[in-house]
Amino acid sequence: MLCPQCDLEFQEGEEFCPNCGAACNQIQNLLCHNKVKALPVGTIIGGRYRVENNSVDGMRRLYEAICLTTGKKVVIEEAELSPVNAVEQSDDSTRAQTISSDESTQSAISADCGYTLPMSLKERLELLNSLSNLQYPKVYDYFTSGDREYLVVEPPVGKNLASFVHENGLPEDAVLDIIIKLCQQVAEIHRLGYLHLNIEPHNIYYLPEGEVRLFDFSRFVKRGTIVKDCLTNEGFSPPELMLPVEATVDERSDIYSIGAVMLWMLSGEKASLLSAPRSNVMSSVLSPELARILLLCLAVDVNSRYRTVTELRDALEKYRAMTRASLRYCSASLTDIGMVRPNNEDACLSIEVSRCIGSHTDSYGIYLVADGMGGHAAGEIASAKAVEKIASCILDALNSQNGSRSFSQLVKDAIATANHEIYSMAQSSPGLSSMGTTVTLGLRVNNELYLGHVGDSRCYLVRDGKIARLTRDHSVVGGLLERGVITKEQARVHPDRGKIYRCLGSASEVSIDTCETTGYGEGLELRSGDKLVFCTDGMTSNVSDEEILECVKKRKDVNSICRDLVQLANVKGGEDNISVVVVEAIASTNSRYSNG
Amino acid sequence: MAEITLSCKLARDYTMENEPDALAYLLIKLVPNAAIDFGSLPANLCLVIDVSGSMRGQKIKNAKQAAKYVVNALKPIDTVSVVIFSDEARAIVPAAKVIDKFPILSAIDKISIVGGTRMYHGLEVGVREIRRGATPHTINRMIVLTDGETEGEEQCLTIARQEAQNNLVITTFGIGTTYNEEFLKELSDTTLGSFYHLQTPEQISSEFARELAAISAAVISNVKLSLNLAKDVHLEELHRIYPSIARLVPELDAEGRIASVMVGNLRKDDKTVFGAQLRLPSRSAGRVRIAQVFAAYSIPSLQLEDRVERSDVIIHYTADRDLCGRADKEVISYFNQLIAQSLADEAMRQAKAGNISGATRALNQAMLFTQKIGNMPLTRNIEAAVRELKQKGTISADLMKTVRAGSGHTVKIEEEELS
Repeated sequence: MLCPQCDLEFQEGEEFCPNCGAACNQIQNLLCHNKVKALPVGTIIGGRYRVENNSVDGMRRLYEAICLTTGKKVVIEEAELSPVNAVEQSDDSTRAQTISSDESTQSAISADCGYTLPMSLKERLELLNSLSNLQYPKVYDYFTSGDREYLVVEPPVGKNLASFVHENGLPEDAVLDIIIKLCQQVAEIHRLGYLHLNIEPHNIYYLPEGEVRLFDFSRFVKRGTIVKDCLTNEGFSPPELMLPVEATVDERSDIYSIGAVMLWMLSGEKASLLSAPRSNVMSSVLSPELARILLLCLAVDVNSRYRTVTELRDALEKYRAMTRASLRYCSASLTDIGMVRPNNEDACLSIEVSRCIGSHTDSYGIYLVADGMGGHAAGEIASAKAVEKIASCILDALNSQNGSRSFSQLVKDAIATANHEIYSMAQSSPGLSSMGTTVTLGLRVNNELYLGHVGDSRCYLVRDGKIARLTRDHSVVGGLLERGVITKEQARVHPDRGKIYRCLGSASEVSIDTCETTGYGEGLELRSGDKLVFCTDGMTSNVSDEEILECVKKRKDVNSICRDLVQLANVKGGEDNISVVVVEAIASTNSRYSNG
Repeated sequence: MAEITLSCKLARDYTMENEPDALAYLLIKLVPNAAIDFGSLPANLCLVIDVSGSMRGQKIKNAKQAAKYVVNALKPIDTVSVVIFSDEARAIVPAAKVIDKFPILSAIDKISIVGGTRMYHGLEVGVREIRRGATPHTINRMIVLTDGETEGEEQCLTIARQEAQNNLVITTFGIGTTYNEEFLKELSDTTLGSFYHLQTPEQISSEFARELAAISAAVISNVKLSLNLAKDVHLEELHRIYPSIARLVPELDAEGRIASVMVGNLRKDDKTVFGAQLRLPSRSAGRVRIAQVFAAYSIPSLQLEDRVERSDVIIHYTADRDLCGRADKEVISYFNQLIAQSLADEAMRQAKAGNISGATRALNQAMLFTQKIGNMPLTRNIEAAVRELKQKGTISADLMKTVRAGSGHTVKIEEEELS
């Protein structure tokens, strides 16, 4: 007999595969919930929606359908009219809904293998309508037919967090961004006196434009509801829902789930029943401040949690502001003649400056590499001029505090000014007529990096153990490589590898690439642990991206990384001049984040 | 008709399809068949008594009273030995049947105080005496009475770990307020024994009666639990939860598929409950046997050896989120007792470190569970600790030890009470 799952061959008559445990007779897999029949694909519901796909979730039936009048895709939820909802008196003597499993509902449950809905679709419709200003899924329609009611909403877009995080992984800053947006959505539900009670990664959608939306409102209940049944999601539901007795739920139950989602995104750990108290788990992977915030979400005792999601959101925003402000930067630069060339036509520079006005401090970094060309010392003059002119332009601009210009424009203007100056020199002096230079400039404003570059000198970002090139070579070989005509290895030994089609000094106007043109938005936000490597082609023609990464990972300080990189390029031939600038973003140890 | 019933139950019968790293909580219950007369087995007890200088006065009186209580309760078929330790150790009563109690009682009466505390000498001599009195049909148990922090804690734990393999259970009784309860708890936990804190002489009879009842009932022996895990299923935690909490450290086979652990003797008059945390692989929808649980045991009083019970643990992978949401109350209640213990222990650590707000918070959280579960003795002790913290900003050593000892003793959850 062959296992349908793992292909192991085993003795006839076994009920389960001895290896993977799969049930051999798949008929046994028919779950009792299949007794709740969903309408078949192709059925027209309400005279205007054609079912494209169907599924059963508890007592609900969900359909993906097409609206025949508009052609739009929709999601339709179907439920029995008048579901069995027991109503009980809550402690504060107000009428409250109850998710109950008393005898009458128990029999309904065992018959249908589902659950009483906490709220009818009609009630949900009213609630969703009042939430519609907050980007909740749009409600298109509601109607009844026979003994059933139908709610038609827009389908979820983007990816749910479970699959998004699984595929991409997320850095702390992105997690904070998602959780803060989630808090805003949940706060709106709470404002209307309801609780979501089902906040977990499958129900949170991450939209392509970075927005966050909550879906699945099937467990919506009014604040103060007495929950009797254990309707829970392992790892995300609060412990009060796990207790074997009834519990009154309020905003703090959702706060626990938000904390559990955050813990899972940051550490991959689910808030396991057995891991309480979780301080040890969290302090090993998170900063103490963030661990403290999580503990105030995940406290077993509801009274020890944040009282409102707004409190939680404020704490997260405060933490984010502090971590962003508390990065500091180190940089180093090194240039070397190499092993073959008679002179060094490269130039490089790294400057860290800060400007304090009152209690406000701004920090800036200027990082430059330039590779000159054009015989009789002209190359040296071009690269030195580029570095000098660009640095002085930027420092002047920062000093004059001209607020009308964006930093990415400043980068472009500085390079254009340098180009103009070098071109004029070349035109006015016959000995310098063929001179030119590449330039790659990084301007850091606090934690934002603005790039500008011309030629084949490069900038790399090393983040989370991976290396990414932030610039595109303006070289013949670079073009071939981009179009997939040659491989990376072929590019490194290509006879035209030194030929560039864009440089400073060859024309009165020059086209400058910025972060935007290389697909990184206007400014790149730097994070703790990030390292930037700027280098000329004396490095990249001999040393591969992976070798650069290895070198950066091996060494702790920026000076040693510069030395090692130059040494490696020389060991590998040192056919050209080599220049390198390395920058590191370091989390400041004297965090001012207070416990208050 | 099986002598014991093995039953397995998951907190949730359903789990989400195609989701990696889902957690599953498994409850394993071993229930002796009430219709069977299991008979009884002779006990082979060794009393290991601390006679260091600090035991002077009421403490040594309590220890002697406790030892005499035990001897008086034993039957002629039982074997007893008494070992005293200070800097050195010796057996003042070598292992022998309790035919004539008088010389044993007078030897206990003559115990006097000498020198420092080196418990590992006491354990070594105790183990020797236990081996002398042991037969395949005896229930072997060592009872340690001490008041102090001992030298060579690690040596003591090494002895305990070795003897745990030989099915020897060590029960520890802490007397006074200066001993290291963490150590005594670990010593007993290692051998699946219990740890008690003796506050008053009156407690001696009640606590020892409880322990002796447990010893005489423990006729199901050499019990070994094995979990045969399906591919990519991982066993992350295994605890005995009832009648008392002990963390179990199973051995895994080379492929990591079979986890086995000796779980000592079982009582004939009560169930024993274990809890396992499993991590499941991502799978498509369908019914899957994630583990097979085996319980092997012997009942020497019925001349039964190497009996094996088996139970399948089956979960349904499904896309139905609501089905995955429903949890079994009995399973959750038992696991909640583990949480309560871990919170109470955490609170005591925080209190020792002077973190009053942390300790109070953890105690309040623990109380939330103990109240709902109905563990009233522990709830009362926790309430007292919260009061002391509020009034004095600290918890007395005595109460701290009481909470630590009490947090390990759990209550039985009856399914019918939950429905």
